[in-house]
Amino acid sequence: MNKADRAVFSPDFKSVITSEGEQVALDDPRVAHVWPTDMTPYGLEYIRHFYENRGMRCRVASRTSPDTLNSAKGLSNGRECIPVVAMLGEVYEDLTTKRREDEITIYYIFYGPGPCQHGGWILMFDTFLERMKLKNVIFMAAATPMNNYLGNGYLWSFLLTLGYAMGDIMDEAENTIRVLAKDPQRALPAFKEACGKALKSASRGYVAIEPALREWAAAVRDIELKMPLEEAPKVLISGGGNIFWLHYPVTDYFVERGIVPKLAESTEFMYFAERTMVTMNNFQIGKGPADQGFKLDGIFERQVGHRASPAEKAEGEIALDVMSRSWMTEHFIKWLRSIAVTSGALFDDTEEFEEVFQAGSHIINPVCINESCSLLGKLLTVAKSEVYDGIVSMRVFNCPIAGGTTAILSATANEMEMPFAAIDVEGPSISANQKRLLETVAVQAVRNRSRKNRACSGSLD
Amino acid sequence: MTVDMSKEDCCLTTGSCTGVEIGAVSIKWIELHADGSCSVDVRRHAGDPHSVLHEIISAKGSNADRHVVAVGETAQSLLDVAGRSETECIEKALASLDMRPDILLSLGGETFSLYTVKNGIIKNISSTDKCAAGTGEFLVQQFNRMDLTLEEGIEKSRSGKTVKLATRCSVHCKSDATHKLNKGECGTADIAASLVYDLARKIQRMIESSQWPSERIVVIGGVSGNGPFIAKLSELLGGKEITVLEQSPFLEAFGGAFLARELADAELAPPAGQWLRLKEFSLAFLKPLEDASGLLDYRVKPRGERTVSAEDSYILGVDAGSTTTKAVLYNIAKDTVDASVYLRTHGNPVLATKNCLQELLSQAKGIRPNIVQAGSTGSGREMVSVYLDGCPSLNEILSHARAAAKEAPEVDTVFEIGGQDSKFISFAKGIPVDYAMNEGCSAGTGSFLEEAASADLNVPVTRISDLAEKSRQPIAFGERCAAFINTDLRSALQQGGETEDVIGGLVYSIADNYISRIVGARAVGKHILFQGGVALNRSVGLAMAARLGKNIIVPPYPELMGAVGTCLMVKDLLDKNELERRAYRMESLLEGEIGIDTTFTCKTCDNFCEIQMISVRGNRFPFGGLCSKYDNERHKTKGLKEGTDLVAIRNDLIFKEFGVRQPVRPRGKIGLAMALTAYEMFPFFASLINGLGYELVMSDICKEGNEKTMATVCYPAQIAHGALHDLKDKGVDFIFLPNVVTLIAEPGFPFSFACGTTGMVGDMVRNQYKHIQQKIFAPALLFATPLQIEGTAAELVRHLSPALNIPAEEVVAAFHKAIAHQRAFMAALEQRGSSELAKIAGEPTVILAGRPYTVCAQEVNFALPKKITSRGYHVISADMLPTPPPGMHPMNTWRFTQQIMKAVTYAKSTPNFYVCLVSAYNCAPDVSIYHGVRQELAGTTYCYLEIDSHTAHAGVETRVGAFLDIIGSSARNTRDSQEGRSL
Repeated sequence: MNKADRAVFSPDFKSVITSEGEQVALDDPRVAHVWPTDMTPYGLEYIRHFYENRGMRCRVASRTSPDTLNSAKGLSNGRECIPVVAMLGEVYEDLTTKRREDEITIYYIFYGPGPCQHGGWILMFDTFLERMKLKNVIFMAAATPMNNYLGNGYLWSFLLTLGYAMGDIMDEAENTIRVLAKDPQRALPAFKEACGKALKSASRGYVAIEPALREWAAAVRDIELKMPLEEAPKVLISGGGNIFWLHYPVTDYFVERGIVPKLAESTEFMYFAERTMVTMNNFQIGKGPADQGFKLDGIFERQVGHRASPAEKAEGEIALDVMSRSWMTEHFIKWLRSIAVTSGALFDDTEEFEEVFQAGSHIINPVCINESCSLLGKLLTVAKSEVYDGIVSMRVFNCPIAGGTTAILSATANEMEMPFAAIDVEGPSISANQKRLLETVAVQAVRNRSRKNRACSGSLD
Repeated sequence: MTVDMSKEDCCLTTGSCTGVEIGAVSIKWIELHADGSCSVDVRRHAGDPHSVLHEIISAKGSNADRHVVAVGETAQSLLDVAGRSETECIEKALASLDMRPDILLSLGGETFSLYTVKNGIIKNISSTDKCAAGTGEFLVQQFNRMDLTLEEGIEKSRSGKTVKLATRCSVHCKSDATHKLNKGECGTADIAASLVYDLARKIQRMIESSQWPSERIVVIGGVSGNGPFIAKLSELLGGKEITVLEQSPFLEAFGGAFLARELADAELAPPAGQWLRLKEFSLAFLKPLEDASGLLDYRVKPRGERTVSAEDSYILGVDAGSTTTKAVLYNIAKDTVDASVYLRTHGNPVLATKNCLQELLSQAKGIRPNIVQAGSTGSGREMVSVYLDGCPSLNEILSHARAAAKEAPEVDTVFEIGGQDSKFISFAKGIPVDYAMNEGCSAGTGSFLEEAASADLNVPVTRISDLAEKSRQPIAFGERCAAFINTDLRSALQQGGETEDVIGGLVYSIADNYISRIVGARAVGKHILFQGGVALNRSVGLAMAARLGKNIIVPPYPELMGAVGTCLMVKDLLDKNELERRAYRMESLLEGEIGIDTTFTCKTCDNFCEIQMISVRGNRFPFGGLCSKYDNERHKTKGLKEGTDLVAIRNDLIFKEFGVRQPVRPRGKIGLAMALTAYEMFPFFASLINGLGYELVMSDICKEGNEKTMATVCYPAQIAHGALHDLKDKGVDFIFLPNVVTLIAEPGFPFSFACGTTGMVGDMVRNQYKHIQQKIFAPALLFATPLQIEGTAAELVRHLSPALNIPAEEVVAAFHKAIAHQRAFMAALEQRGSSELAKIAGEPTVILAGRPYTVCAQEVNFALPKKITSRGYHVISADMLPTPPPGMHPMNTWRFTQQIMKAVTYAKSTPNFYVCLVSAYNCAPDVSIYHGVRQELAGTTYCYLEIDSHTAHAGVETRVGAFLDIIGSSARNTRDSQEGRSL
């Protein structure tokens, strides 16, 4: 297929120019907006409502399964990292089973240049597009500061981020309900109904978020728990962007054993990706990551200084944009959590994203633009807090970064005597041996929590 | 066994208490009796624990004591009795035995775990990953492969010497051992000793990685009974207290039995008849294989009577594969196979060939066949060629292609699955133009299928197809690596999967592996021939057809295609008078023994290979070496002029002309890790270090250090670990191992990343070598834009100025000088490249595309440049090619993948230039780019190699040999067709 035959966005991103050269509005019934990235089901539900509320057709990823990964083989050689294999599987299934013949399909896939495989996704999808001779398909539609968030501006994109933040909150609450609800058979459907209602309502716009979340919190508060949440053992499941496709059996394992699992937030992953631009900017103007690398004044310094070229100033503007976005992300999430915490189903009050990032930067230079820094930071900050009783790090085949970081994580966890297991997974399934590792963490998490509970009741006595 | 019950408050006055643990390989059933005695029942379950449990429980009868504890997840999933975690049971057992180790090693059949322990309480666990590499059961498999039982293998290991084996992955290790045995580099005792040694090394690394006190170590699990292993581990850990307990093989169950004594009434087991849970299924299933029978043209027929004729002339063809050796007597006049044999190689291709000759003689029934020529192919072909008096040794890919074209002239695609190697051949107009082989591992090959079926399921290879075809619901394993499938296979059995469904799923997975790993994005044609020994197995053909939805032909003698193809190629050479007829007598060949007379060091190049002088029947032949020099001598290749090695020219430029200029009075010594980007940025590093007044000390190859990695990283990153390990003992004041994030960008590309690992490798290694952390400089270096370079200057000031006590301005000045030096090198390299390219224009040339630290580093490149030039081709590295033309994808974000695509673009537009892409296992950027490479080069001849710590050169040789042979064959065919001749 000639590159000229591809469907593309119009320069203002308000419409699509089809392979035949026709300009079609984004809310045209022929256009389908597809999010094939399985990152928090509730977040995806929000996104679906978000598009539908605006008169657009939308499909979102379903839960990643071994079948999804197998479908990916229709496109890939199976040696890629799990996120891309899972997405390819989802895309392949969508193309072959859901896509209408006359459809103009836009696949929204995160993109950002960088040293990990993620940086090569755009090339990979371009290759598939040509190989499959696909017409009227746009892959790698990604909202970035460089394209003014697909022409929709900062606030539009931010609204989607808040959807993910709500998804993270609801995931955390769901795990609480699954483990602690007195009557899980009745509680879970009620919980899901409350979530669906809140997400549909919140996706209408900023002003709708607060009332929707308050209503949700009130509904969830009505679900009776069999014991106080703070007395239940809790485990963090971490591992960077990979975990969203893989965590299901690990989450289920802990739920079945009465331990409340929490998945590291998708928004933390997004925050990391964006915040890297700040450290990179500061590095370029000579500020070291260990001391000044996270400070924001470096960006202002460059913007008002005389050294920067126009191109560099443009880069600085993007960094400013990102910086303010990440600042807003963190603060809006705090605000959302402050509302949602009244549900009585949230427990994670650990460090802020930036503190996590900074903690890790003492071990791994954050300018390396990979997730090692935040993974390590998370372990260090969580180990110091009293919230969690164990950590599971999930690494995947063919993710050298996760592999390399795990070695440092394991040693650090040993040093801090934090119950920790690193499991190497191939897909959303776990082996008998991996269950042994999880079992060790589970046993210790229960012990740790009862020790904390005893200490707590002792102090009350 | 009697247990000292006095240490525990025994509440049991009568009866017994039981602990049951189910491992991947065996069931441990331990009963503690009131008199202090202990009954131990350990049984292998061969993947069917449910049945074995049923046997044990039935034997107990209904009066069995109800104090029973199921230990761990698997036992709890099968037994409806009280459950306890392995952690609790181990702790209980340690307490009962009054043991307080720092570390407890649980070394089982399938996995190794390391528990960190404090005051008898388990603090943490780490484990070998999901891969079963190098575990106890792996040892059993490897020994079986050499026809040894576990006990025999262990015994044999005592007399062997250790050789280097690739043990990162079980499958790689298996390939490596096979190739070594086939090439005669060592014997089975050496392999056994090496396996045991590597096992001990692996455990040593696990202990080091934990960074936990390790003065007192307790070893449990099945491997604890391996005496030579324990001795080797003690030797490696020198001075640590290693304890193997009487209860070590079943410690978890032993602890479980103690916990069973404490069960409350409510937790007591029901009557024994109710202990076993019903089988539960959580498995996904595939369509029956028979559903694809309409797509399979299976031509294999029962072998009938054949007669060797005294009047006709024959060619003897031998295909000495890694697992099996095949030989045929090919009747030249009648174009028939009049005698054939297919037997096990058992690691000795010459002995296997002799056995083949004996069998062929017996099939000749007293007739002395008139053998006028012979030919050998397969991984042991060179050794067999020497044994057969220097007969032609032919590449197996071409041999298979030749036989395929003969069987089905319209063939455009060949799938070949052998014991250790799988091949894919694509034809254009009858000429093989593209091929692929399994890339450095044996995943999805016949030996895996066979071993998995026999070791885990007790199913001999002859029954695989029958069982698989019977399955109405083959289990979907959905995995990509053979070692992982192995693990999941057992898991499926433990979940209650039926043997025939597991076998059916296994067969599907072999097909899946082949299609995704070997075929990948390559075009599969319309006329597919499936051959190799595995094709005898009809079910695999069905799985291939089912997965592809295409018609597939299995030829009448799929297992003999290599040997037949060899005969056909020899016949072609005879017909073209490029080979003379000889008179072979099989009886004489049988008389000969092969042996090594002497060895000498070849000084032709810097590789200094050890060459063996092999004698057979009074003739002496040079054998070995990394390049083809001595193969050419043996085969008397005429008129072959060695090609130009531009990689050597490049290395001279970077390391000599732009290399070290040591200061006269150095301030001290800084060691530079010769790894990763040092092969690109050496002029910069050298100029910077010398410019700061320090003497630069380069690291040397340190294989021991390479193994010190705490995580699974690519081979080049392992070498970075080795470099640091080497430098720490070289008397340097500091070590420079930077985190190189971006490199100087190629024009037209906005990004120029190194890779995720390179960007953090310095920090990774610093964390490992904490005791010398202060000596290691690991700054972040970024060079892609002027601003990044500014930032890097400041970063270097932060890291170097205070530590070296050098003013910031001086550091900055040295830095800028070093940058200028690097740019001068890059300009000189391109200029030199252009002038050399002008000299070799139009001549066959191989572009080595890949990272400089892979293709230009002697430690990694397996003497590829020399291998290629000794075959008469020129060789050039991608970074010597001219600046890429506009139009390349701008979002190719990595510097070295940009180089790869530059090579691809250049080769596509330049006649007689071919790409050999060299990558490292686990290289994330290359995985991304490979789709594009394959697409761009589809229909042309190119080679893809994946390098890792795999030590055998044989695999590399086969692939590169095939690549060069296909280029040569295409060129000859073009020439012949121009001259009106046809093959």
